[in-house]
Amino acid sequence: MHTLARYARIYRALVRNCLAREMAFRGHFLVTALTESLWLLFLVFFFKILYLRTSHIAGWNENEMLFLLGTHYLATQVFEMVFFTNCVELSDLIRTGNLDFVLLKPINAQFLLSARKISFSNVVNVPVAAAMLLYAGGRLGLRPAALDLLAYACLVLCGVFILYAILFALALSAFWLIRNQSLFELWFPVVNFAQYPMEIYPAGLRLFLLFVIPVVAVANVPARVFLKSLDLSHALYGIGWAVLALFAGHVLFQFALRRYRSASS
Amino acid sequence: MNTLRIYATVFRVSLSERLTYRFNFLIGVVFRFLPMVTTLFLWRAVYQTAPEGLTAQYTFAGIIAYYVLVMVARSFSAMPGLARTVAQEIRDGELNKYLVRPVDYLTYTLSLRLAHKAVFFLIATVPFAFVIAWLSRIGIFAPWPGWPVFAAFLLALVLSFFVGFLLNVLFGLIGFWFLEINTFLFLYMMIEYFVSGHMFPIDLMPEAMARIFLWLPFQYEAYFPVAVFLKRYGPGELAIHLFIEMAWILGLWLLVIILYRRGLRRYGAYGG
Repeated sequence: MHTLARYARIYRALVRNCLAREMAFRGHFLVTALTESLWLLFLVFFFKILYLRTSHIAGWNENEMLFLLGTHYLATQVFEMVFFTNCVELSDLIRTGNLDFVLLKPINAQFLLSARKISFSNVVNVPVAAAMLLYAGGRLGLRPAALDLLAYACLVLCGVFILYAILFALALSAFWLIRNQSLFELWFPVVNFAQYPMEIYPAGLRLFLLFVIPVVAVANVPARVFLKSLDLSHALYGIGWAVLALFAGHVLFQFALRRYRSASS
Repeated sequence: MNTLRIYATVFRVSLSERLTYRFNFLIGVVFRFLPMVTTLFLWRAVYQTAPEGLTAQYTFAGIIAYYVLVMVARSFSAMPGLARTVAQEIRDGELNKYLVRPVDYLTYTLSLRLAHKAVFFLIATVPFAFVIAWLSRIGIFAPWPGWPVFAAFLLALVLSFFVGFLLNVLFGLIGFWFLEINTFLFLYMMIEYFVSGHMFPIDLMPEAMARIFLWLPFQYEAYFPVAVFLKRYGPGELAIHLFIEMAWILGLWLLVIILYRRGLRRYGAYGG
């Protein structure tokens, strides 16, 4: 309990520090927030065009699709807020040898590496996602019970952790590759695959996205729980993958650290 | 003659520099392919439930053709990092390097970009040709346009390079007036993605919106060359559009030169 309180205190300090830093560049802050929301608007518009011509895409009607997009947006924005910058910078730390300064501190290295920078420009987008979910949910006539809400929140959080584990693993590849910029390009397709209904993919690819790189757990699974009904197997699938992914990330980190050469420091 | 030799050398040096990292480059090309694949899966699902609704403008084969050809057009008109580099060279005072030498910064940048494109096509032409040959065998591009239209398509592609180049330099030159424009450039790239028809065909948008977008120069970077290939224009219309595109290039070129000269007057040459 004592350790947990200590880490909570440290995290609070990190949050304060990042907020102060972000507020020093308010213009940047606003434009970044605007850019992300504009992208969502384009996507919604694209789907509007598609739904002018059909009532269902792969079994999803327009409001269900909006709900799925909103869920995806929520998960990715929370992820980008908490983890994204940290994972991208991890590779630089490894290459430059600046990882030393993290390893030397009396704190869990993976915690500090994954949590030290919080991107507040994404915080603004969380209400945007919430508004979209409320709009789509309202038009669908959803009357969620407390348990549904809890399950949904929990599964979105699982999705965030799965995204974290994937990007963290990509970042760790710098221990072997030194320069891994082109691997990061793989990240955007990964997120791209996650935002559409999994029914649009051919069977083989769908299995791959379910059981090898589980990106359908990010938006598809939480949205489905809400739109259909709370299915225990879905919930177990999402939670199971999140636990497995976090554990694999931890093991990989321990293993990769042995390769660290502390170059040029 | 001497001037020409300078820029030919710049071209050659940049060419060999680029070829050094060809593997990293090839991986990048492959990964950039993937989002298009997911978009096509989405469209396939649309056509499965609405086989009739869309066919007025595009069959499913037509949609595939559209996205593949947009990719071809963007490989001419996309200038990754150009605007950012220009802005950065202004901000960091790197521009001094060019000002004290007997070269023109804009022509220098143009030769660099020509070299980048040359390397790109050296590496990408063969895979592109395979994909396109395979797709046309299964009838995606049927009926293949006649030679006059195809020539116009090639011309539109070459012109799209200049439109893309000038637009990117133009936005980069804003760096003379503002210190930090990276986030702004990101916003511009995203709007360009939508407005140029890269995300989906402009003629599927609501009419009022499509009319505005077809007035902007961005459509020449993606939508226009593809529409030429897909025979959206009659001969007279085609000539007029190509003429308008060249007028845009001229106008943008003048604008770039004016902004560059005005910018130089404000230029502080910090750092360098």
